[in-house]
Amino acid sequence: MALHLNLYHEVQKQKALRRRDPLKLGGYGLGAIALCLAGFYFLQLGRQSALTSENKRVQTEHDQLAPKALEAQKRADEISAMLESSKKLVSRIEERLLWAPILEILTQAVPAEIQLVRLAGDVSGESARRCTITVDGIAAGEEARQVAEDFRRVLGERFGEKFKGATSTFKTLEDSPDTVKLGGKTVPTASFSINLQVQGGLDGKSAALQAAQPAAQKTEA
Amino acid sequence: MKLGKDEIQKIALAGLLLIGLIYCYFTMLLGPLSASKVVTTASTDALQKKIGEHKAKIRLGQKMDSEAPTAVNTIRQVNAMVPEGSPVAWFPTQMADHFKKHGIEKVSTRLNSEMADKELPGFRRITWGIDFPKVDFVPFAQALASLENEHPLVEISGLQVETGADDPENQRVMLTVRNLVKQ
Repeated sequence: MALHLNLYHEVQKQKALRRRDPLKLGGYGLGAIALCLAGFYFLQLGRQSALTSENKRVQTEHDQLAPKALEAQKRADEISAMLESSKKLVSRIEERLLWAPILEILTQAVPAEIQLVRLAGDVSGESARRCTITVDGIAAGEEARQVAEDFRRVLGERFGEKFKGATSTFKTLEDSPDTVKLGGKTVPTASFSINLQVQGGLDGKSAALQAAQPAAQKTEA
Repeated sequence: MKLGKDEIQKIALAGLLLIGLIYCYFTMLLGPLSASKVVTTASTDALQKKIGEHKAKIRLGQKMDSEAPTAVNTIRQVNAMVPEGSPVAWFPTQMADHFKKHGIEKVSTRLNSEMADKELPGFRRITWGIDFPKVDFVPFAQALASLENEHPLVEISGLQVETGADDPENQRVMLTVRNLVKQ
């Protein structure tokens, strides 16, 4: 076996030492970390760029929509006010208290033994119309007071059928010294004053609606 | 492997360099980028929200536009019911003509009061007193029913019927009428 002498061991040792130089190795490590960080940074930069372009797109869309929305809002306010006025007008017309049905009931309810001398009515209230009617008259008959009472009851019933909250009460009921001839007989009389209260209800509404329709049709024509 | 003094110094230097690099990276590069990202995202979200609101307003406007013809039609009809000119000029004549059509000749109409309608902008309410010195009750009631049918803007707020002692066949009627007219 031949003897082998390494005369370069010092040189090789120096080479190995240079290869394992911590500063060099650290530099490599730092370079690698720096590369990673730079890569991450550029990745983030790309995302930021995408976000910015999305923001620009949204801003453009917003700028296009803003004037349209403003105009739409203005128009909606105008139409809303118009609708409100229209609703109020219709409800004002529909919620009127109509006198024709009241007079019709009164005409039908008065018997031959009763003579009306005065009728006065007033409507109060804005949304729920309440009507107070005073009916003054003379009742004739053997039992004049009973005739007046029957008339009051009939009025209450008839108005109750057509109107909400109808009440009928006597304000006054007095025997009168006067007599009248009724059916060939002379009978005593009683003067009375009846207070009627009715409220414009559902029936009143539908009647008013019916009343408004022909007029509206006429206007359209 | 033993590290010499020179190597330890180099390692320390490398560590310092690394710390500096990381500090600069986060402070000068990634930090502003993250802050900018937060601002951009917030701005985009706010804009998206506003766009949603704008779209809702536009949809509401379109919906209202579809409802507008009904309101316009009603208001046009109501406006058509009110003649042009001062109500004092046309209302008494209108009432006289109406009752004349039903055989009631003597009618006198006077203006009682006039006020702006608070609920209906652009309209005012006029209260009139209408006097019928001599009427037969049944034809009068028919004329009244017709008035309520033909004039929806007229509302009778008071009615008084009196029978004279000397003439029980005829009655005297006084009406209080509220009429809605344009401003």
